[in-house]
Amino acid sequence: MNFPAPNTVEGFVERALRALPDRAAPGALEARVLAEIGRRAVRPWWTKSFAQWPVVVRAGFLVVSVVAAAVLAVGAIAFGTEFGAWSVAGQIVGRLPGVEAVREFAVALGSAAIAVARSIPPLWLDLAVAALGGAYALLIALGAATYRTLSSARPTA
Amino acid sequence: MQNQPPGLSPPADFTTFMRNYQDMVFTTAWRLVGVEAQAEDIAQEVFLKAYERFEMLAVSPAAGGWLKTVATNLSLNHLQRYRKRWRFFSEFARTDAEGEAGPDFEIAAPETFFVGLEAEDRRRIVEEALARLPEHQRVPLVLFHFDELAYDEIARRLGVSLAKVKTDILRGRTALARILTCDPAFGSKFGLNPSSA
Repeated sequence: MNFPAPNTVEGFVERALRALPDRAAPGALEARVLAEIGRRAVRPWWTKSFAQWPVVVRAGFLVVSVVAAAVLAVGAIAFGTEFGAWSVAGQIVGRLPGVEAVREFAVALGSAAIAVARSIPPLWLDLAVAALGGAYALLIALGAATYRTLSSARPTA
Repeated sequence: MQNQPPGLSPPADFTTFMRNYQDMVFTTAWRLVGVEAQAEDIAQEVFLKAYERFEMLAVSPAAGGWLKTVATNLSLNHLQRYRKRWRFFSEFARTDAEGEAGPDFEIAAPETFFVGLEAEDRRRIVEEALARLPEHQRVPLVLFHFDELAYDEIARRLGVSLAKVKTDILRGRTALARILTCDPAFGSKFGLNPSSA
């Protein structure tokens, strides 16, 4: 390993920081930690994270979850195939008042927007894009300038 | 400890364990976040995590390393949680301390600079100088010199480019050396004799 020369900045900083003793932790830290351990110890198990649940409960929860998911999946498939639920659902959605009207409105709106866009001269579109780009760049510049102003006034520690 | 119902009071061994390491954990967090109250919160969180794994840590020779790593990770998470949104702008940020950092310079009689000072006084002086650095210089400098992480590891942990890490560490070192050796106000505060570099 190459050690920096002691009369360089790197060597000086290395010397200054090497084997620096630790700061003493606040006297209240130990009491705070022990109090928090005690507070957490009296919490019921279901309020803790899953990893801290009792093993039996964790295993039971997993088994119940898998069984519930399987029952739901099998039930949905059986309902769909036995009672023709998929086609019934399609018919219900198709007959809902307003659904067709909303679709027609969306199509008309889209067609109108395309027609308007085609009627605008390309130069105008280019100018609009350039104006938007300029406004965005101005926003970034203002943000950066504000940050630099505020961060230079902020204490470091 | 993880799968056992914990008792109402922690084992005496854990208290001893905590007393052995609390200064190191607190110092690790303080040097990175620079605020005592936040460092204390982080140290508390570190020991709560340690308590959940105390069966393993109590017999592990690497317990100190584990605690230091967790303290470092939590401190970096803490810093990034509040400053992530400003990361883009921070690439443009230049502070006064950064501006002062010019080219490398030589320090006259560096071996005598801390002579006569107790270790505790040296710690106080160096840490106050460190606290004057902007965060984007202090954090990589601390990770490099105290946590002994490589440049690329620091870049990965901080989510910045390798070039930025190298630049920040270089400027941070220069700014730190200038504060210690050239700042008359700082030198007179601690009875140092600032030399012209």
